[in-house]
Amino acid sequence: MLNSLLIVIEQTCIHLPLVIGAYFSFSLLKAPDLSIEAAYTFGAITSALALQSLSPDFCVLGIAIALIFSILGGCFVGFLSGTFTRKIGIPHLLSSIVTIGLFHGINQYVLGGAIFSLSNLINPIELNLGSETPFLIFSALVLFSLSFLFLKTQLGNMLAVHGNNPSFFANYNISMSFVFIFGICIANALAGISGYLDAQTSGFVEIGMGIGKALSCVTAIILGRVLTMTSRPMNTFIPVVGTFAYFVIQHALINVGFNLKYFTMVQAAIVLIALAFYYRNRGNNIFEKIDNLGV
Amino acid sequence: MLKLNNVNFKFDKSGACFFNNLSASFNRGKINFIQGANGSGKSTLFRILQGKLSSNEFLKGDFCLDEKYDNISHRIAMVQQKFDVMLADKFSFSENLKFANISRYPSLKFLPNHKDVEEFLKQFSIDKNKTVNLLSGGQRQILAILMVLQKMPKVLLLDEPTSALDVENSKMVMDFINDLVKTTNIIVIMICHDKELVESYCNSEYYHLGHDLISDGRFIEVKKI
Repeated sequence: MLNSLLIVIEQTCIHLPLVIGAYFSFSLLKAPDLSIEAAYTFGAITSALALQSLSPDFCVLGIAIALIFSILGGCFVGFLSGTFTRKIGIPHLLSSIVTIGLFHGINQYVLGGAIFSLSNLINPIELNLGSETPFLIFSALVLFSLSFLFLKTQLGNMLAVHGNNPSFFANYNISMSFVFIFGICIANALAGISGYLDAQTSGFVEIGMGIGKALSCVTAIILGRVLTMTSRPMNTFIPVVGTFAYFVIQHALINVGFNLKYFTMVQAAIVLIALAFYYRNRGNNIFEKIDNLGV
Repeated sequence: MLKLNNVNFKFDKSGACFFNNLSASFNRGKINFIQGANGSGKSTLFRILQGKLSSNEFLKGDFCLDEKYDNISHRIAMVQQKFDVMLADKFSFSENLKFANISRYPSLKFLPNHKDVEEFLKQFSIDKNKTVNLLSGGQRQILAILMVLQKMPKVLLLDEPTSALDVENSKMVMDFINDLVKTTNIIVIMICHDKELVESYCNSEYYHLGHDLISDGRFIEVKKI
C-alpha cells in the first residue's frame, strides 16, 4: 500500500509541472495548446544533451543546468507556437499541430535516433541526493508555490482574463500578444521540466514520449475541476488534485490487472463522465455554461 | 474645455468631406449630450477624438483641451455601447478595477491598487467583492466607467450608456454620471437618443449633430436645456 502511494506521489511530482502548464494554457488562456507534447520531448532532449556535455565535476550544478536547459527547450517550443498564432495569425490549434510536426523532425535530427539512453550519463539527482523521490517532492512543492504566486501577479491574472474575455485587452491598452506568447512560453517551459524529470527517472529519452500527454493533461485538469468544485476562475489546486487523482486511478487499474495500453480509452471515458457530471451540476442550461474548450 | 475648430474629415483622402469645418466646444461641470440620426457622424466624431484613424482617412483641424493644442487623444477615454466586452465577468468588481490599472506589458508584480471609489460604491449599493456576472446591467455599466477612469483621463466619451438598460438601471447610471460631472474635473460627452432622459438633466448641454443637405456638410448645433 505504502509502495503504491509512493509510486503515485512520484508520478504526480513528475507530471505536475506538465499539468500546471496545461492548466495555464488550456484552462486559463483557453488555447488548445497541443504543443506541450513537443515541449515535453524537446525539454527532455535539451536537458539530456546538457547532461551529456557535463563532466562529473559539474554534478553539484548538474540539476540546475539540466533544469535550465529543459526550461529553455520548452520555452522555445512555446515561443514558436505562440508566435505563429499571434504574429502570423494561424489559429492556435493549427499552429500547435504545425509545431508538433516541426519538432518531431528537429528532435529526431538532434537525438540521432528514436531513443537516447541516459544510463551512461551522470545522474545529478542521485549523485547529490542519493534518491530521486525527495528531489521530486521538493521540486513539485517549489513549482506549486511558484505557480500559486504567479497567479497572484498581473501576468498570471491576465492569462485568466484572456480566457474569460479576449476583447478586454484592447480597451485598456494591454498587449494581448505579449500575454498570450508569455503564457504559452511558461506553459511549455513547465512541460519541458516534466520531460526532463520523466527522462531522468526512466533513464532514457524517447522520440514519442510526448504523444498523448495533452489528453492526459486534459483528463487530469477535468478531474481536478470536478474534485475541487471551485467557482474561482483560477485555482492552483486544480492541477495538483487532478494529477494525483489521475495517477491514483491509473495505479488502481494496474493493480486490478488492467493492461495500460488500453488506458487512453479509460482517459476518454473519464473525460466524458467527469464533464457530464461537472456540467450537469452547474445548471439547467448546460450548453450556455460550456466554454469553448470545456476545461 | 474641449474645443474643436474647423475640423475637416474624409473617409478617403481623395473623396468628399464628411465633416466640413465642424466646430464645437464641450464644457466641464455639465453633461454634454450629443444626439443625431444614424449616419450623422456621432461614432465617427468619437473615433476622431480618440485618434483611431486608418491610414487612408484624412483629418485636418484644431483640437484644444484646456487651451493646449498637444496630442489630446491619450487624455480621452471611451466606454462603448456594448460595455460588457470591457469587463472580465468571472472576476469581482474590485479585481476588475485593479486590472484596469495594469500597464501595456503586465509584469510579475502583484496587482496594482485601484483608485479610491468607496464612496461611489456605497451610494449605488455595490458590493465590490461580488463577481461581475452577478451585478445588474447598471452596476456593470458603472464598473466599466470606473475602469476607464482609473487611468485619469480628462475627457470621458460615453456611447449610449443607457441603451441596453431598463428604466431603473438607466436612472442609476445617469445619477452616477451626473455625480461624476459635479464632483470631478472631467469633461463628459455622451451620445444619447432618449430625449426625455436628456431633458430630465437640467445641468446639461444638448448638441444636435446634423447634416446640411445644401452644403453637403455636417454641423453641430448647440441647444441649451
